[in-house]
Amino acid sequence: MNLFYLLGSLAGIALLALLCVALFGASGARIAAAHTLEAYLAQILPHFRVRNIALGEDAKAALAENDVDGTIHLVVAHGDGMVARKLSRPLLRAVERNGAVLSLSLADFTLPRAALILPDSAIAAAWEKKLWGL
Amino acid sequence: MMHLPDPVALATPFFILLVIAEMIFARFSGRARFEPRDTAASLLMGFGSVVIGASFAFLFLGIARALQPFRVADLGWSWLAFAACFLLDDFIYYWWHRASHRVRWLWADHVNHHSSQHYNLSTALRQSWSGHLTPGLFFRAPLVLIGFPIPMLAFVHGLNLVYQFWIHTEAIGMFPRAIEAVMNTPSHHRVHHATNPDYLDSNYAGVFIVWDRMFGTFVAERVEEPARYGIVRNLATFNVLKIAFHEWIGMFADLTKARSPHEVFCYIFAPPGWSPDGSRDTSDSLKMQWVSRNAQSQSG
Repeated sequence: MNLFYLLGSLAGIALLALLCVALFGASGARIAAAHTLEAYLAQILPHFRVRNIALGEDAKAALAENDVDGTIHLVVAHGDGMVARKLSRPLLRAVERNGAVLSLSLADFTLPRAALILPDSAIAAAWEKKLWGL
Repeated sequence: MMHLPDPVALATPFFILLVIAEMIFARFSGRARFEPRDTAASLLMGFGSVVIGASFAFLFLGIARALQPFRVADLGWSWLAFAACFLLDDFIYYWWHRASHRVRWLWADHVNHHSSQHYNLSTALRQSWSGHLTPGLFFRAPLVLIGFPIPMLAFVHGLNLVYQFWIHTEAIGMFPRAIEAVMNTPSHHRVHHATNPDYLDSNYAGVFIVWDRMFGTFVAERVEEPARYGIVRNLATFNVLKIAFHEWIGMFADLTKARSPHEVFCYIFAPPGWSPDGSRDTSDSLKMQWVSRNAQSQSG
């Protein structure tokens, strides 16, 4: 393999990525509205009807409780889309709360941590309790 | 021995030009989506795949040469031999691809290609880095044993891969019915990349969609059911190392927890998502859940 070709290929990839930024921007998805989150979960889950939703103040993460089976789903913004995880005890390793901020540790190779900045500490405490109850 | 060019190497500059053209088209038409970090990850996966593939080419060539003395015929270099080789290679690709979706060991490698939530020409280049850890060549061994020359096999397989590049796009709608009936097209392959339960595990074809029609895995794209791309449990990373190896790591983590030889076997050979207690979703269980939901909504 020729080093010139290898480095040239990497430079070409960097240029293509820059072109992509120039054409499409680099701002990511936002989970800013409950209906956006509900619509997303209804698309990907066979049975979903919203019971409770907690949107992160930075619009980067949210929690949603399914009224059908009581499951809780973590949704995080990823690129221009979203990624969801059904939270359960083996997956959810730990929950920590610091005021209105909930920090979740997950047994997930590509999503090991998530933080939710909730509107106030009472809401965060309520969700913390639900998560410990899983 | 005849020397044939590498179709993929020859086509690579055109791949890049077409990715740029699709980006510009997408920006002004809105008929395709790009995300810079996703695109960069796909291109880096393609780069890594070429480098790793070249590093392990000797392995594949060595096995093919070891098998060659046991061939039953010498089919030579006629045009008919080329055509037959192309057709049979595509037939074997269908079964290899189907197995890659239904056997976790093979899925650990192939999942990388499906790991983007986008579907554009850069997704075509999101190729795996671990093909040498799978028994891919043994699927092709019959072609060596039948008597096709090894350079011909490499050449037609390269053509097959080049064909599959352009079908990774949302920019093209549907072709006339006669073409859609025989050839794999962007429409058919969008269905293959979709995670909608009724689209899962379908349209495995490389070039000719007739294999899916023959073996019952064909699903047509429906306008009222737009494809949602990616995998059932989408990745939350653009890190190419994590993309390349996440399923291998998941599989080995499961193997360390296996409590019987049966569980070891199933963690390796059962469909992706298999678990001893059935707590995880497989494509089959997802399909059943959606059938049940549709039945409920129709009866209610």
